[in-house]
Amino acid sequence: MTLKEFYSKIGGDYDGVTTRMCGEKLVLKYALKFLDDTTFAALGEALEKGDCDSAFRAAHTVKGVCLNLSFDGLLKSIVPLTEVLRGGSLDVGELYEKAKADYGAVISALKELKESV
Amino acid sequence: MSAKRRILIADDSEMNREILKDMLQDEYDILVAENGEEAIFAIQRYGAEIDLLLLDIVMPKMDGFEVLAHMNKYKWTEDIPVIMISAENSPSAVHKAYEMGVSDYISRPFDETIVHKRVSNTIMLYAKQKRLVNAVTDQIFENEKSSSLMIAILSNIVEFRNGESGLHVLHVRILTKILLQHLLNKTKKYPLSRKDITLISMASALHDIGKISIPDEILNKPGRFTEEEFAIMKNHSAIGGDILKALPFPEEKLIKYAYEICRWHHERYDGRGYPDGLVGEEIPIAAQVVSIADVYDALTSERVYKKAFSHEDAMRMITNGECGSFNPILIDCLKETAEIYRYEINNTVSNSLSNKEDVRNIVYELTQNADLGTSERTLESLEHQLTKEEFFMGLTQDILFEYVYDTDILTLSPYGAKQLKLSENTLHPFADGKQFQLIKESDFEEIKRIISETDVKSPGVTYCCTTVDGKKLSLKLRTIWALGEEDKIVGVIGKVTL
Repeated sequence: MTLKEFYSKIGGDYDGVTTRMCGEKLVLKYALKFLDDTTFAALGEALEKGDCDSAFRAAHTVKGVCLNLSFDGLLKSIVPLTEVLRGGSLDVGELYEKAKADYGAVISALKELKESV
Repeated sequence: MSAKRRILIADDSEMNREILKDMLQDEYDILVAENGEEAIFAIQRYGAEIDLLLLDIVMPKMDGFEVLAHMNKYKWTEDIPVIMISAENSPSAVHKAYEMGVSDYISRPFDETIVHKRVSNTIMLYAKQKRLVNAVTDQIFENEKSSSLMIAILSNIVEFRNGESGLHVLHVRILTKILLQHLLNKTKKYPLSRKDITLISMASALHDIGKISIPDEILNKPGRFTEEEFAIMKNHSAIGGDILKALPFPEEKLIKYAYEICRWHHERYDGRGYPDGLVGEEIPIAAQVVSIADVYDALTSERVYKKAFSHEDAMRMITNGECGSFNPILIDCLKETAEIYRYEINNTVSNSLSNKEDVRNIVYELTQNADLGTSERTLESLEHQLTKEEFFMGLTQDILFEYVYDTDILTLSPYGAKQLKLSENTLHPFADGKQFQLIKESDFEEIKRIISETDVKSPGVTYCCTTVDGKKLSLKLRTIWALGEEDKIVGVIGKVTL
């Protein structure tokens, strides 16, 4: 799987992100690093504990990563989730499930990418 | 500075820190902080060695805005530029950041080229400002040293007669400065600038100058004063004021403050002071502050007629009204700044009356509120000249021209442009030989020759010839000169008559 294929699979702007990061190398490095990133898990934990502030921070952080790395599919579901949490509400059941699904898709695509590197 | 510039990145996401670090670490030394608190610690540790702060908004423990508030409180934003980096793109967040003093706002996603450029631009801008402020500070400081010295000498002379060392004057000056600085942070009631603070502190050295008129036996009497003796002693404030009034510099702020302080530093907030019995805010703030500083130092220092009291005892006596009546805000200021004061008097090595820090603060304030006076007026008058010129050029029914060598631009009056069927401004006017449609090559060469033969004293020449189609043409011109080591022609102005 090439980087370009990865991006078309998860719905991201390959051209945009490689231009911004001046090449594939850094994009690859950070995309694969996302496999080890624990922020999304932290989001889940915070929601379970009912900790709105931490959940918001975690969601916001994930949003930032998606913006930087153009994980547009996950971005689309994380943004509304972030906004609800920002307002102080924990009523995010459906939104979280959607985001979780998109996150899963990104992770499995990343694993595929990792194998071909 | 051959060392790399230093950048502090404050962001709770490791990924973001890594991305930025990757983008910047070739050119810069990178420090990282995971949250607002760590960022503050880093700044406290490295101070102005940090050339730029890249600050995220959303962070645990202390968010970006809280960091900014902290930086503003301690005026760190003057030395360290802040670029906000955030996924927060809402206009309200961006506006708030700018209002709190950030230099720039970079939103995500990060573009390497853009980040690089904006970082280096911001750092360069601040570096230039710092250099300027330092250069001007050095100049002013050198100039001020001798007047500070003069004041120090004068006040020591006065104190000498009392059998006191110059320490009292020094202590009062330091305490006055500290109290004023704290007062300004506490309330907006007293509109003083940093320069005012420096002047008042300087002027405080003269508060007892009237004592020069008090006879020795009274001045140095170890026991209690009789009523008459006390009356004579009380005169020193009025006399000090008179001395200052007699000076030929009535408009100088320093003298005004010195007068207020001298005459009224023994007034009481409750109106039972001397010489004029002023009440409350009738007493100028300068006098109020020096008054309480004077009393505090008298209590906490050893004197011929008493031992030194402790800080706590002194505060108690002042608060209880045992040693005069003061503005409650000032009593609070005194309480709150006790530690700072103790620290400064134990660490002030020299007796110099204005230190570089004070001067630098004044210069910095100047650059912020730049009323640049002379240069602005010059620019203004230049603009007026240009407006006049444009107007008259527009009116004239002559073919007027101006040619500048450096820019190789020929400018014609509107009428002239119409007549010659050229545009008003032409770049590289002689590049393709268009002038030869009007005049012969030999004439053009001749004109160039006579131009080169003009000099500063006789810059004007006239030249007549016939145009290519046989019309009479007369050229009246004047060369414009740049004067320096070698005078040089920079342009030609003139009139063409056909």
